[in-house]
Amino acid sequence: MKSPTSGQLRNALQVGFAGFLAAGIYELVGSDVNSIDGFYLVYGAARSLLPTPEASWAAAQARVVGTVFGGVVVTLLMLVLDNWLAVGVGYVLIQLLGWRLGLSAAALMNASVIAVMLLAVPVYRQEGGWYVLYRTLWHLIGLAIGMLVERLFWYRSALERLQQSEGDLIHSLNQCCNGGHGRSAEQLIEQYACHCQMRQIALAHREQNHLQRDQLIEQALCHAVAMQRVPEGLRLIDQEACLAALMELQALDRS
Amino acid sequence: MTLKIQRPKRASRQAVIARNGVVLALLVGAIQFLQLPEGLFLALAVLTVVESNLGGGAIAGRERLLGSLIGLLAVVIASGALQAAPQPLQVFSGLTLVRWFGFASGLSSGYVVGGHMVAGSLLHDSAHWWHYAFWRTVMTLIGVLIGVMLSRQIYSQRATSDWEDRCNLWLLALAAALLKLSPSRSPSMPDTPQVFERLRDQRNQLRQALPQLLVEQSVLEVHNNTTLLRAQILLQHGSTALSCVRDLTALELNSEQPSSWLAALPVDELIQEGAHVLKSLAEGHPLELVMEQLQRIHARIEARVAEHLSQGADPLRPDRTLVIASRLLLLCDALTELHAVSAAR
Repeated sequence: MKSPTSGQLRNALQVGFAGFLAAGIYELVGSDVNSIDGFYLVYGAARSLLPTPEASWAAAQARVVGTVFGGVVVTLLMLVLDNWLAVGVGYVLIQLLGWRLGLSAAALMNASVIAVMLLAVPVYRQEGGWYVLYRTLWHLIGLAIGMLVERLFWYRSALERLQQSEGDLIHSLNQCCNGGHGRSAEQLIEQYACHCQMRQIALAHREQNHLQRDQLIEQALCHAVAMQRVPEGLRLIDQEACLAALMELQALDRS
Repeated sequence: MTLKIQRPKRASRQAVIARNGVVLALLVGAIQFLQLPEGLFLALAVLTVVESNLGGGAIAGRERLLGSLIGLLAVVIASGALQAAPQPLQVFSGLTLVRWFGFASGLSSGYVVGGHMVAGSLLHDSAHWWHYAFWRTVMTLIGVLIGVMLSRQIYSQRATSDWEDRCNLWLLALAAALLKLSPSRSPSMPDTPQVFERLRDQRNQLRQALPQLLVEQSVLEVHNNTTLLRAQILLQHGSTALSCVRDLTALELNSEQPSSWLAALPVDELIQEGAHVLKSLAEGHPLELVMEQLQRIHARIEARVAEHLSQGADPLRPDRTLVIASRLLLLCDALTELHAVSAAR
């Protein structure tokens, strides 16, 4: 068992609060709420608040698009076939059509789920298209509550997260150059890959001098990794080059 | 070459879709016939597993099963201990606990399923929450087991084969980039940084897929992890070779007028042998006599570097040739290790 980080604890509280709000709305709707599948409101909240706002957004999109797409395909199919065989036919249709339409794997998975739900549960089969509509609308509200809570509490923009990731990476590079207990070449590569992902997300919010910063960080990283791999007598070359890039980066910060 | 690679992939994807469709239809038919309690979750668990290859499906199944178990635990606490509390408060504690347990057990997505368990138990089936939560967990467990068994036995899609195919394409692209450095070739456009970024992205994707290989090996009950070990070594030394080719390209190794010092190094020989090693690894051809040649090249470069340093070259103020020599030595080491992997096949 791992002990959760402070960020993970905050995330747990956020999703709990989103669920609290969603359950409050669920109660307000009245005693007949489940006849219109209102519990999906909390499903939506539970599905939101993933590790990053971008992941939450992508998952929400996949859920809604997949549910609508799968729902439409299976509802139409049910006009001609609505027994257990239709689950298989529906699944194949969803996969082939969705693939042609370029839907993501997550959206296709959500569409396949609704094929099973609609055809394997008699109550939902009777509801037909209404089930798809209720499920989609309640999910939309639940997901929106989740994203609202995400935005209101402990929100950090993509740029702030990029700066944090950059700071951590520079710290690791400095450790490598100064002969401390630095990270291995493989760990540095992995950390840089995560940083690049973050950079891609934050691309739209990039500051002017970030391009130069990116080049210097990459230069420092290449030398730090090479430093751990080249023959010992030539290690100084990369150590000096890595330090030079880091110093240039510091100078950029000061300017 | 593209057609050769894509046609079987498309055919195999269609066959997997057909397999999954038949499996789902039969399962739902059986669930309805046997009137299994919460049998829907058995079908959903099977779907989760069979959607991916064996390794990926086993990981997804594990996430779903652990997510259901922590969901059950959270429901028991939220519904049992907080019986008198208002429903929104029960949901708050249930969802908070699910995430907490999920993070503590290292789940990356299973806590979403756990959250659904909480929502379904407390809101949809609040009068019979124990029946719902218990049978949902049991059906998920059975579904994951059936899914893994089906994925292993019927038209099995192995993460290992998929990984090897992608790794071979990566090695071939690396060999092509290496060959472009050859001074003996007619002057060609050097690879741009974007080419190396793409190669690095491919390398990162291969690294990310390693857990699938590990899980797949354990599902297949392979006790000696040679496949995983080979994959790790390939990535480690392939990655070193990639860095060297990128640095040597940036250092303009194949510039039109190399210095006399550089011209005396067995650069072309190293590049040809290196490309040979990478291609043989990718295409599965046996390699002969390359090891001795690589060792000889390494010794020659090393001797030249020692000579250069003894003549007063300062590693603290390196000239371009010394940096090039450093990368050539590193490339030679990486290729030797890759050759050892190939020989051990």
